[in-house]
Amino acid sequence: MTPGPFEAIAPGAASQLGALLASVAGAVLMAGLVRGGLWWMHRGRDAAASSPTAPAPARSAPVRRFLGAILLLALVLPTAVAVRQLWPHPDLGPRLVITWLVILLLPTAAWLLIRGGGPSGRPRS
Amino acid sequence: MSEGSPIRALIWSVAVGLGLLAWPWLLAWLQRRRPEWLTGVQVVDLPALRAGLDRPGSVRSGTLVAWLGLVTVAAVMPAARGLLGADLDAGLLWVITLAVLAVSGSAGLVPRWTASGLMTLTLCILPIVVRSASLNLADVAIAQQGGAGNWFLIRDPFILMAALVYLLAAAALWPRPSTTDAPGAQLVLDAAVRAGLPLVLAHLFTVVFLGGWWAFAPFLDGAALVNTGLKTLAVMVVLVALRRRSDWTDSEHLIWLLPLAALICAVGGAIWMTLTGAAW
Repeated sequence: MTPGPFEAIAPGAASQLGALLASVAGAVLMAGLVRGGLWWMHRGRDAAASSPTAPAPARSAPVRRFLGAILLLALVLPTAVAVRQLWPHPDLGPRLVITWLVILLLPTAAWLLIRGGGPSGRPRS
Repeated sequence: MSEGSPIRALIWSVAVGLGLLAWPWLLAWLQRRRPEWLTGVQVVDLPALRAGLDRPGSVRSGTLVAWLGLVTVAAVMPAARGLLGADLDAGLLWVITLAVLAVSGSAGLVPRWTASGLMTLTLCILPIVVRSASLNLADVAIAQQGGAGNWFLIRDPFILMAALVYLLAAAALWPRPSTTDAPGAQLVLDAAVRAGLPLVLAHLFTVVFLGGWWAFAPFLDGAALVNTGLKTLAVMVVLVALRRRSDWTDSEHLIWLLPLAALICAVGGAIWMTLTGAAW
């Protein structure tokens, strides 16, 4: 397939991305309803009686860096996908899948190789 | 190109969110009524959930990110033709990306298992992408219409192996039980994420490998939602059975074995499809 000139905006792409954002908004709405509903139940109670949210379990520096890298990729790549979806290219699909796999696999493989000899760190109930 | 409706997406994601919020309560109730069914796979405790509602407090950011990712993944997966939040042309790519957020934000999983499991699931889905020549989840399901003989699960041996590896990886990704001393909102959302992750992975398996909403026989295709529900439930039963075999799913060797097996399935599937002329 010979690449042709890019269209200004791919038909339907903007509405798809709008629908995706609306799905995220729905999730935010539900989280807000849960938080707000429980706040409504507990209103008027003595503030001193409220229990603060327990801190998250501490993670080591390499684990934090790894999670940060994965999260960054998970946020950056969809933005790139959205931009490219708005301006379509004939080779979008295969290139994105291969690029995504390479970006996801290389650091993951490196992490597994580095940590492969370590303790399990996975307690089960 | 597929279209999307923001209003429909908002309504559908709210409905999916309600379902995911109710799911851990249903599991906890089942746990009390039939404890032998869920031995070794508990993620929620009903008295702890009820007691947690009395504790005020906020939600951790990691749990909130995991919740957003999980609900959005569930909302963009089709339950029937046209019954989904957003019909995305790059749907599988979005699902994997959002699953990374959902799994990374969950406090129930260890990072090494997270990385291994996500890579395995991605590689297991790759032969499906090649065979259906589309990243759109609805297209993947539509390509399997016409009865059980057209389901990707039995189209070629490497996809069958990929499906088995997927199930093992999903069972290995089963979250640990949540802490019971968290405040109410944190406990509710955290329980929903931990209980909902296996359910969402089971639904994804149904769409990708088991024909989605298409029945095993064409004359039953009209009951789309029932087909999807029954198949997802059947996959959940398989996941619970696998999870109870902790000697399989807790083995440290799976961290590298599962991605390797999935890679073999992906490469083998591509070679098989090339040799049989089924793809490209």
